Amino acid sequence: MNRLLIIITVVSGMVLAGCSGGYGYRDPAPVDSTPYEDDSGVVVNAYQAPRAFEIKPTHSSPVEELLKLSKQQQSEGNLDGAVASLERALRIEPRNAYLWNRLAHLRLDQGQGSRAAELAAKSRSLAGADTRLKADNWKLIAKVRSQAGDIQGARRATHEARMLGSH
Amino acid sequence: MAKRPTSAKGRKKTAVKKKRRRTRGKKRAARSTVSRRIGSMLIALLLLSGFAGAVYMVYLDQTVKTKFEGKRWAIPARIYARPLELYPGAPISQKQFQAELQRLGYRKAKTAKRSGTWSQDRGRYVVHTREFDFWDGRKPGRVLDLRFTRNSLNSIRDSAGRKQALVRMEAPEIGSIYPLHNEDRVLVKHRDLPKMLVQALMEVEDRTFETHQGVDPKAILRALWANITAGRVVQGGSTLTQQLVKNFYLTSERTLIRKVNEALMALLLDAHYSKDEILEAYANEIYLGQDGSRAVHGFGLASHFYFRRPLKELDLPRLALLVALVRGPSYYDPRRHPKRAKKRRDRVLAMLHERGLITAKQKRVATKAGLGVSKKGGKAGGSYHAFLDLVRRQLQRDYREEDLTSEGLRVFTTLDPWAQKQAELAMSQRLSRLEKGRKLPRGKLEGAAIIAGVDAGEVLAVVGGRDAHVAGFNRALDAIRPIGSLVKPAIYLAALMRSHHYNLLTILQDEPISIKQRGGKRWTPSNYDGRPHGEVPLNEALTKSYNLATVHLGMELGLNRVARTLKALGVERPIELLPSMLLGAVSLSPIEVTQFYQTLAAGGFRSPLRAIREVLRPDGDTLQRYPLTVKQAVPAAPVYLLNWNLQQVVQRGTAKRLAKYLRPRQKIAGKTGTTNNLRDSWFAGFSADKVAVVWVGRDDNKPAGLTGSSGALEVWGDMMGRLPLAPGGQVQPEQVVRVLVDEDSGLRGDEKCRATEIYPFIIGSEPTRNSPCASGGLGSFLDDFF
Repeated sequence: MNRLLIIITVVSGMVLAGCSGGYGYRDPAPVDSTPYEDDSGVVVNAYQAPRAFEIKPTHSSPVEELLKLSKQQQSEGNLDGAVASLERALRIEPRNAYLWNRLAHLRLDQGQGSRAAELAAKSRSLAGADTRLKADNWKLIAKVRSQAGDIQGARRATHEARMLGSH
Repeated sequence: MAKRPTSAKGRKKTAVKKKRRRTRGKKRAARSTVSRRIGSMLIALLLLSGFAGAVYMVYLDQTVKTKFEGKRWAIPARIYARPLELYPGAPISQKQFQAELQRLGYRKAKTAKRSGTWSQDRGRYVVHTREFDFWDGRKPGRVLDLRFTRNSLNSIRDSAGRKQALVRMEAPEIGSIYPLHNEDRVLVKHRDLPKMLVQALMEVEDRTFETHQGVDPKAILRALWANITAGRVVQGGSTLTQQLVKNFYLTSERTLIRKVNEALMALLLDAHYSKDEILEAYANEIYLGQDGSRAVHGFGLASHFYFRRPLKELDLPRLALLVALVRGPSYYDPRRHPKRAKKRRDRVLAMLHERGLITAKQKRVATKAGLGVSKKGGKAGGSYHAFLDLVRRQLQRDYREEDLTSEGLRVFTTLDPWAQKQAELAMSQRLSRLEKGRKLPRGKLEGAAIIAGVDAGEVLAVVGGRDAHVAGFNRALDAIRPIGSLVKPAIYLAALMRSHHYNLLTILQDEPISIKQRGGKRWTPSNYDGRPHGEVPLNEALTKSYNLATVHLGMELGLNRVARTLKALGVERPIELLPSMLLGAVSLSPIEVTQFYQTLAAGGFRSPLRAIREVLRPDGDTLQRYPLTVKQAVPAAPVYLLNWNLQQVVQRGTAKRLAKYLRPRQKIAGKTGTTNNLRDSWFAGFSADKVAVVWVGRDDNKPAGLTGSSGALEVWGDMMGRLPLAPGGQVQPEQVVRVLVDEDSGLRGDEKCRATEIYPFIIGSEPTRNSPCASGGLGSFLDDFF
């Protein structure tokens, strides 16, 4: 297991090092980002997150409509209404990770931290390749944990978010 | 009072006077005092009775005001099914849509001009919807142009031809929670009373309503005369106000005192309140029929009770029938005595014509029309006992009984009436067929079923027994039975969660085992086919539901760990830690099993099963919402592996028979369960969007003669095969990889191997070495990575 991790790290590091010259790839994580160079001239990079894909969520037209309604209700301060509209959308597309994420944010706004964190976890489990959404869910979880005084847990969640290329 | 004494009494008095005359002289002095005394007593009596009368009037006045201004009626809570969401691509068949329209009491017409009507031209429907008060406000009625393809809704346009992304139909009412005295009402405001109804009511019952003071002396005299000449009661002289008083304040006894009270109170009522207010109260109070033990009061409910549509959608002949019923709801009952009812209705129509309220043509057309009474009574007209039972139990946790029966609350539930109907049909038809096909005693099999949404835990349907129309023992909630092999997924999940020790290919021992239980008794389980299968891969043991391998695995893991997993999955009932629990000596109700499998179906995220979405006050304010909640109960990756295995159960294991009902692309995962001597037959399973559990057995707990696969599975398959199921199976978590495995060695294989299969693994638990049959089988370590 450990050996496998080392190999993955080394290999991906090599690949990234190879790429980093030409594209001006800038994604500096605040720690461990300085390349290490030894006498042999081999550059060893610490793990860097792959570039976050810009995945624009696409929704079916009824879900789009309900999202619009939910956002409008939210802007009017009607958070209960916004939640209910999202739940309606989720009945149409129960596996839409974006909707679960929105619902998590609304619950957080309502001060329902633990419920929000669970919804974010659900969103994460459905997010597939959408690393940006996954990272956002981790950030939300980190926030809830730090609000609850779980510093360790918050740090872990923040780390997960960073690993996914969020900063 | 100054009558000449002619009677015997009178003669007696004269004799007394003669006697008095003889003694006049002596008593003259005393007489003046006596008469004075009598006089003052009379005055006192008059004053007293005047005072008592005044007090009594004040009392009556208070009675009239208190009841009229207070909460006049106990309005039962109304329960609604989910509103049907219409959007392009919605998996709604025409058949289902028509059933929904019928459930809502919509009428088919040539053109859908009025609200509550629809028209059809093959796959194209024009529907004129009604307005409806949702939790998020009143939504007006509108005209919709819908086009269907074979099994789904294709497009929606409004009356101007604009495309619509989403339209919500009104929520069908499925029941109410009545108070003890069983009265029910659908309140109607004065402004919502049809004008023709009001006119007809006055014409027939009280012509001078607008002008009299609560009582109409002329009408009383007229009625008196008519009754005397007829020799019996043929006409009533009561005004609408008096009728209201009679219904509202008084008992139905026929005494003079009551009549006087009625008149006095009618006068008081008229003095205090406007004619409109009185008429509105009358229209909601008048008794118009009986629905079993439920009294039907007011025109609003009567309209639903007799015609299954709201009052404002009634045409002339139907309105006339309601007015006709005022005179005697049971004597003129249009369902029991249609001829009498029609005669009386036509009489009402004739009176309207005589008064010039309708034209001769209107009268002619209306007289020709049938009574138009719907077949079934009541607003619900369905068989939702088992589901409503669940709703009531959830409500009783949060509300007092009296609030539920009197506050007019509106309860929006998660019931999907179409799914409910299909589940009921599948249950009753399949059980009859099973009895016939397997020569089982007739009518002994019973069953229960629950369908729920996977990700939100919303209960879509509950079947409490074979005959859903009978409200009785609700097996879905209350039949607590051993679950047999339905418990196994919890054991295999407990193993897969320890991914360093177990994966789907781990070899288990399907060998005889004998375990000493508490109390010294030995427990010696056996396989269903009676023989051991030796060394079997873990996935095979679950797919084929091998008992011995499962017991070995469970004992290895420890009963505690298995019980903890069950608890995490949502089984709240305490579990006795006996080895026999590994083969399902755990008793649960179907709804508890549904919760357990919901957690699996949702990838490890448990959502408490809910039957209610929100409860509204009569004014439309939300009283309570029952929100969507999820909790990650078990990690997603091992659940994914388990669900993959449960799909194998359906594809090639004990649930193979499902292929008869469902297509492979629906990727159903499921598990059969059978208990000792074939007493209980279970099937639990799920698609991407729906989880369902079916139990079949006998109420007397005698052997039913069915295994999970020959009994409950048949009902399950028939039931789910009738419903639209989302394809797609499970979402693969990031910690899972798929690896091509050589079946013979359990190592990595490729196309050169004899038999290969792709298995999912939790990263780090997959085989790393290539099988000898694969190219580079002895090859380098790096092969595994590049």
